[in-house]
Amino acid sequence: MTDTSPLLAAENLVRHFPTGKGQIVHAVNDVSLSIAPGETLALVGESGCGKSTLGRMIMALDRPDKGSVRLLGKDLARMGRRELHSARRSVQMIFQDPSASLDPRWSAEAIVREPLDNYRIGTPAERRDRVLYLLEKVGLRPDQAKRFPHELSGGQRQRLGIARALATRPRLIVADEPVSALDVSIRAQVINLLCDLRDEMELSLLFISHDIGVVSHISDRIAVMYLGRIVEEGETATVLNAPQHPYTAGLLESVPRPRPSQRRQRAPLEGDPPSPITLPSGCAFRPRCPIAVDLCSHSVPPLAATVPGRRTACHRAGETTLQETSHV
Amino acid sequence: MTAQQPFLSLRNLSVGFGPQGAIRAVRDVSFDLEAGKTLCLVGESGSGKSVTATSIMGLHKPGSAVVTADRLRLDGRDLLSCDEAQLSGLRGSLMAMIFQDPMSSLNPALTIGFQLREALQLHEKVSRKAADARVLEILQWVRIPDAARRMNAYPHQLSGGMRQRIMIAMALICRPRLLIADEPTTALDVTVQAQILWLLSELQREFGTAIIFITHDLGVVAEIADDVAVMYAGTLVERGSVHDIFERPSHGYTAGLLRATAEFVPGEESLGRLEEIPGNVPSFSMLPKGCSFVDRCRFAAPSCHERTPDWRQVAEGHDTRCDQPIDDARAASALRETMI
Amino acid sequence: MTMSPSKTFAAMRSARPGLAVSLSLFALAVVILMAIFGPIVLGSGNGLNPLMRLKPPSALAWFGTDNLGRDVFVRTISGARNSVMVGLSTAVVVLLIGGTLGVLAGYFKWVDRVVMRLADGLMAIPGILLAIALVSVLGGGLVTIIIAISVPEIPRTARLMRSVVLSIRELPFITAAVSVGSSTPKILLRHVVPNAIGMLSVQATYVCAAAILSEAALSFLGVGTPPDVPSWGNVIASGKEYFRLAPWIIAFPGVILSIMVLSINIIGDRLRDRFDPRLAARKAS
Repeated sequence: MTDTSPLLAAENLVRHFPTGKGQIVHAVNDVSLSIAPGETLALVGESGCGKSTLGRMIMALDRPDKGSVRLLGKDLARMGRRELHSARRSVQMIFQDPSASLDPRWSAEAIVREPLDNYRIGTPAERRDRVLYLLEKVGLRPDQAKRFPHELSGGQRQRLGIARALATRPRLIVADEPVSALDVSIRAQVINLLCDLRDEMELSLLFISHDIGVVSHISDRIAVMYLGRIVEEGETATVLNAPQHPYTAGLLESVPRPRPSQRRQRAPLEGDPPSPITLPSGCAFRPRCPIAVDLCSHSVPPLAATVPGRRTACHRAGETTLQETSHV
Repeated sequence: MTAQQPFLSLRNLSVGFGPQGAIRAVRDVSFDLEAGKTLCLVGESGSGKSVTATSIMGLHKPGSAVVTADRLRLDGRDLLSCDEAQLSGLRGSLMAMIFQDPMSSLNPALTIGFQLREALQLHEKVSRKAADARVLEILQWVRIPDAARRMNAYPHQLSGGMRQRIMIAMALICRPRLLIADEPTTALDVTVQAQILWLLSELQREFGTAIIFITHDLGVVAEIADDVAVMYAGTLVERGSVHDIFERPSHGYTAGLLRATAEFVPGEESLGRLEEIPGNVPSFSMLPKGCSFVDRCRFAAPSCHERTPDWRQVAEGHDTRCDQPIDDARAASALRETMI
Repeated sequence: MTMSPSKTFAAMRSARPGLAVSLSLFALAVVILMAIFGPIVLGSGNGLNPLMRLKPPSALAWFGTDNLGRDVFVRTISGARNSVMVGLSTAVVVLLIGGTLGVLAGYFKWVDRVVMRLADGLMAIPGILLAIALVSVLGGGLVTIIIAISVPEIPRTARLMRSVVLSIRELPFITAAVSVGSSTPKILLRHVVPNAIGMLSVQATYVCAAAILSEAALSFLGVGTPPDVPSWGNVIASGKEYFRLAPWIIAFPGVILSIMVLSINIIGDRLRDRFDPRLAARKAS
């Protein structure tokens, strides 16, 4: 492996779910992304845009209908059971709901120990030490090791979830909305902890979130999803300060700002996101798009590079400056 | 109502649950709200903000809560002395409430048109035809596209944003003068949240409704509030105009919360590291002695451990429940600390 | 405030099993003690006494005597042993077989298809008819009775466990266990089963109560335990022809049977309240 090869690469992933009534939910439609070692990629989008399904496929918890997920160059779908088991060691997950993702009948100690036992890491005595080390690393006291999840606060539970995810020394962590269930005054603690651990352990991070504020803090790159597709991707600061896709622009405009003196005059985007069951023809964003043209209704815009390191899926990308249109 | 009296006035509202109201979920909450204004009640889960709201509405189950206050007046009426029948007459016509999850307040088996008509006819004697006309009108007000057809729709046929619009329509159909909105946009996507917030402020301008908006999202507060009341661990810690609170926070909790929130503002460089509020929110059984925030406060003085602070005024219309309120000099020195 | 309110509240909750539950536990304890020690002290009550036929309750025979002059009190006590044994054994058999099938069906789709079709088939036949058929095929005896009562109960328990497991396996902590590399057997035994055990214990009480009733019904119909092995069912059965003449033969064991079944069900309801995942979730939030 050279430094340039990605840690994880997903290519042309497609995942459709049949509903009970013979309809199809188009959860993920042709998504490609890659994460370099040590990089943090944020996956941003609203509910139902397919970001969690994408996370599950990357975790090998769900199989794509089409496309491949390659971890260190190896296709997850082509792995045997044993190979997949050992591959899982290097990709771990942090969940949204810290209470539901911890078995209520297991103590903190047992929860962090589970992955160590599964991969037979060290001797039993070493595992005990490593559990205490991990708990300390995430800011839990040794006397909390015997506690059960319901005896911990929400923030402490999420710390415990992080300790479990770090136990196998993974290379990549998929964090699915890791702070959105936490109290506001606790979020900063957990975000800082994640950043510190990432830097210290040289982890890659796939950070799935709908919170632009958190994302702007934590990520190197950002991929914006809308109805199962990535519509814009690039370096976080550039995308957030100069969005090229009208959805990204509308999304950013919609985020309430902590500046009472700079109130918006109106809601930036009209309408609801359409259902992933009956996708609109052409560009999925067309019905809500303020700058849609004829072309948009019959051809799906490809996610194309506009400038190096930046991809946008819009027929009109680069034609207009979006800041102007969204303020009109 | 006399001119001097505020539209809604609370003095030392306390709410207890459990035997003899021993679990005091809300303690000594006092604030005023002018007619047609928006007050944001800010706090984390368990801070008592929803309990405060349901106490104003008189929505606690009989016998479950002990509500006491020196004053709880709405539009000149003493709500504390109202019995259940009087309160239920006021709910809907004078005050109304919407919740985070509209599905829990809508009957899945009835059309939205029926439910709206029922809400109206509960308080006003109107014919079916007139009622239908009013329902249609209010649906158009809340920007339901194709409103005439949607009257025959069932709640599950609508999107989350549409359902919340229906809830707003149902709350406003009798033109109440106070609307309490309990985290109405928390479950919605940001683009839809922006629409609902805009809709609420538009309806407020039109109908002159006073709004108590409960939220934990400071961005939303900045967007819609006239006044802000910050709650922590069951009590109010700071209240003032939205500009006071955001630009000159004087309570350690408010200031900490503002700095600990990761926000994105276009064109502004994002700070490298968020400032943390250390520790956890205390549970009601383990409140520290003195100020409830004392264990997490970076400005705490020894005296803060001793006694519960009283209200003190830091500016006209800006009060804080802190014995060591943050002034500019302290804020500046704190900022220097973080830079180092 | 001098005491910590949430502690008091929690203590109050746990110390509030309610009068009904206390009484049920008491009744259950009495019956079980009777079942264990009754026959040792009083004998089986099979001794005939032609002089004492159909005597009403008296100091000599507290519950009166039956048509063969046997003491109804002694027979009810020794019947308790058989009835309770049938109840408990059936509960154990049903939980082991039905519970296992249910857990597997809830977790593996292919097992689900097979097990649930079989369960549908069995559930289409009324339980008591199925039991009668099984007894007539297998012949009498306590073991046969237990098998005959268990078979119709197994599909119900399997279905319940299946639905419990179906909801548990959707919980994020199961996904978390998969992603930290736990094997499927480990997930089933260490995560799924421990979290389902609460509902299983609730089901156990219902099965136990139902089994006691079924045994009584089978005995009453004459296909239950043999007449020389007293159980509540055949004590009641022996009184059915003399109901007008000697109602005590039916009344006393009948009342005790009802109290027993009611008590077990009350305890089961209480357990269900404690283990109901929805209630637990509400408490957690």
